[in-house]
Amino acid sequence: MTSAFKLSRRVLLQGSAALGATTLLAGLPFGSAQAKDIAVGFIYVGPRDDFGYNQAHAQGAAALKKLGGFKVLEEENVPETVAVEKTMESMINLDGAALVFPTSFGYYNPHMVKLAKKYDKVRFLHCGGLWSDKDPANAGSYFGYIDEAQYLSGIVAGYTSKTGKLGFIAAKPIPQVLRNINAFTLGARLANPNVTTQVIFTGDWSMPVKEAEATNGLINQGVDVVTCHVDSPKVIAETAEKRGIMVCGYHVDQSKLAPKGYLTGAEWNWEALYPKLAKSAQGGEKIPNLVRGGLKEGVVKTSAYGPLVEEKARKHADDIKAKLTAGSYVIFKGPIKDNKGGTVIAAGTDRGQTDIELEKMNYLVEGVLGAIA
Amino acid sequence: MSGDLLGWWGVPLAVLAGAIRVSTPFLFVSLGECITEKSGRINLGLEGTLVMGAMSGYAVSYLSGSPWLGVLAAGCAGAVFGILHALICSLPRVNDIAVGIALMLFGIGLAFFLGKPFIQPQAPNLPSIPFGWWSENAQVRDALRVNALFIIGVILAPFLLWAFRNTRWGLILRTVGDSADAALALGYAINRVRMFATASGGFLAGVGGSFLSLSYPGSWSEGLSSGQGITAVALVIFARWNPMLCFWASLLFGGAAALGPALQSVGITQGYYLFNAAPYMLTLLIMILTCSRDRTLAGAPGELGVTR
Amino acid sequence: MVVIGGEGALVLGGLAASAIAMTMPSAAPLVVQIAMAVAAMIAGAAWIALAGGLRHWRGVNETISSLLLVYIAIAVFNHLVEGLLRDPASLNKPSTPNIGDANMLGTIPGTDIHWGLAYGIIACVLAYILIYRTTFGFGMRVAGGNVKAARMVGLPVGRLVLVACGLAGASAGLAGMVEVAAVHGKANASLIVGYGYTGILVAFLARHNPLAIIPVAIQLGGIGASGGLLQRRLGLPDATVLVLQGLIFIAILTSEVLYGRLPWLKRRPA
Repeated sequence: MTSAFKLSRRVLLQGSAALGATTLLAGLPFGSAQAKDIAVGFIYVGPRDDFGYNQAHAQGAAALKKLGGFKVLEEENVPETVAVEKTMESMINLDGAALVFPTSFGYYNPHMVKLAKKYDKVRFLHCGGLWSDKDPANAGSYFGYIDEAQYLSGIVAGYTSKTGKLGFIAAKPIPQVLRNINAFTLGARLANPNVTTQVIFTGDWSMPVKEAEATNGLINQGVDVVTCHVDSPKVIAETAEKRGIMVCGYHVDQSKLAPKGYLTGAEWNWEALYPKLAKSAQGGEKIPNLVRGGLKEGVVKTSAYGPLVEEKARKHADDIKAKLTAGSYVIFKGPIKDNKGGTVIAAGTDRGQTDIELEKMNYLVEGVLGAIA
Repeated sequence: MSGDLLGWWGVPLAVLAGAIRVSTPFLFVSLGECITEKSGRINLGLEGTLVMGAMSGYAVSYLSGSPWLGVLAAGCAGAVFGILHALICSLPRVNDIAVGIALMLFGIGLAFFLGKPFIQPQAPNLPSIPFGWWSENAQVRDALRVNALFIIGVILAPFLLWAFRNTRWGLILRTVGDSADAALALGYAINRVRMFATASGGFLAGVGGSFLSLSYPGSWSEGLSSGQGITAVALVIFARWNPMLCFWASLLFGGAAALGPALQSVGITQGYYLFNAAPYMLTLLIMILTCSRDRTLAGAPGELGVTR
Repeated sequence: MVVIGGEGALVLGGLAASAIAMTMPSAAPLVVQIAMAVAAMIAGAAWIALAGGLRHWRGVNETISSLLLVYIAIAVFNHLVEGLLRDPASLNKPSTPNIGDANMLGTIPGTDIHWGLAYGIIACVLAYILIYRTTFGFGMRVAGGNVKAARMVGLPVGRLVLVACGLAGASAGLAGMVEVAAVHGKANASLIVGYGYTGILVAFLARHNPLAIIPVAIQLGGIGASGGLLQRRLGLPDATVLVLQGLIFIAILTSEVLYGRLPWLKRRPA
């Protein structure tokens, strides 16, 4: 009889953290940081070499490390529970972290907000773009308009697909994901107006077997270019390559995994942003509470084109990329219809990147096959 | 829709293909657990063994360049875990279920610990045999591209059934599992038999894990197993400790798991969470329909902790 | 009986707690908290009692059915959190609406520990009294030791099994409520992190004695918390903690052998 689920581990974590830390670590070497180096903590929700979301952040941390003058602390596989509060507290109290990057979306509320209130001398910068003026002033949130890069991937995919069928494997139908699906499809239809994108939602951020199964299912329906929005696109890229179709990457460069079929990809450019944010903290500048940017600000980038991308596609994509980088191009430009026939953005309405409406996206545009559950 | 696409007909085909692809780890782990449980012990640690097998198989395949060596290494790693379980459980008053859960944690931990350097590199995968060469249709060809390990599993299931029933080894195993007293009276070394059974169970579970990393999906990552090992242990009870039924149960489970993505790829996107849970619902439903309160489970080894 | 479905009861308990909080926006915090606890316990109890009932009426093995029910519970949970019960404002992390700051369980004054710990300790003590100090508990222990003997002396085994399952589920459900009311303030995917499985080990380590669960669970949490330092100070991978936990469990379970052999370790009648 196991009548004993009553005390869950994390519930007790709070009370016991100190106990565990002191008992277990009494014998460990406690090296102290160089006084001049400021300690910066990075917290990842998954393994830092996942060829995806967490690797992108870890590359940013690595860029900071290379810069010198910072002591970089990293912790991976930290769940979005009290565990992340404990990690942050421990980084602050034991390692003297002056700046913390909790990089997963779910770390923000209540965990990071709570700690930002408690440690008002420490800077907290969260990836997700959630900060509002009700939140503590020593906290901030940043995010990238990666749909710009997805749009470019879409253009390349639209030109390169022979069947006119693209596949998109997504974790959950949340606005960020829908925005990527829609941007990818709009880009593809710019190249070829008859293209469709079939969407499969796997239900969670990291489900390798289901993702492989979804990729196979799409290929069997005639899809010849896939892309995705899951935490680790590794399995999808490998499966696509194995089955001889093309793939557009996400989060980081996956061309190594699919040397033949890799077209291009939408990548984060945390390598550029993190050193910038850390230096601003080092210099004692005011914390940037809300940082957002796309290609123009260098927060996102695209992978180099693969061997299968023709000149025509490169030219068109490069052209649009130049316009996006200059800030003179609008992706969500009316009229845009959803895939049920209704108009979601009226003719004459331009929804530029900073438009808050885009962050509430709850539709799939015309050309996307699939529905939000 | 172009000529060589099956559209809606793709769904049953995808379920079949998925059944073959997804079921293999379930098949190996459940066959392994079947041997272990026949000897009267339950090893819940096979989830850890599976993950350990996946990691060591991938690592050895990468380092040696031979995926089959990887499979062997995975099996051996699994066998070591099996022996560990058997050794600890042979001590008096040690609970096999608790040790299993502890070993599950240990196995997963050790695999993650040692597996860090192998997440990035790509290891050679196991070959598949194209049984669909006769078809013009790409989809049919893909569905019938059957992995060599699956075929080994297909042969292994009836062989085990035969061996349980018709060999001396099978008889000893069943005697030990059904009544330790009887086995003792007949002069069998109970602990040695159980050690052998748990070790071979671990070996098969390790091989099942290597399928995940070396065939489908075919790479090592920490999220690779989503509870396949522990589900397979449950499938053994579902299959009434019959290796052939383990085979059918694994196929059914794998097919049901492929249903969700297959339906979405033809455009049915409502309630995908519920479709994704289809294998579990189906298994539960069948259990409810086929069990009866008045009958104990036919074929249950008498010494098994969970059925008493 | 071995039920490994605590995880399912936990997530559904958390869901029920936040769902009930949704329906009473203007009630007093204490009322809301009690309603949440009750709803969570009912949901958890019903879920595990389902496994017990299937065992009793249909002879379905409770170990498997409870395990399968975990996956089904998680699917139902996700389905509802992203559908019917979703807070439209929870854009990128689908969640139920916030239960409101006033309804949160606070921390014990002067410490960093939230009241969830008190809930847990009370539950442990109640379980101890129930199992070792009541006739009902005695009946449960007899039925757990030997079903045939229990039937022979006329114990209502079926009812005992159902009630025991219900209580087990209720406490797992309560854990879900605590996680919602003390930590997250809403139900979302962060609830699904495997506490249910750790709970089973805790139970075994505590040798099924509810009072022993308290120190065991605290120590376990401590090891988990120290994992970060192992990563940062020694450059060890995060999995070190898992390996360490596994080794400790194995060592403790193996030490079971010593009970009764060493004079200072007395074996407690099970």
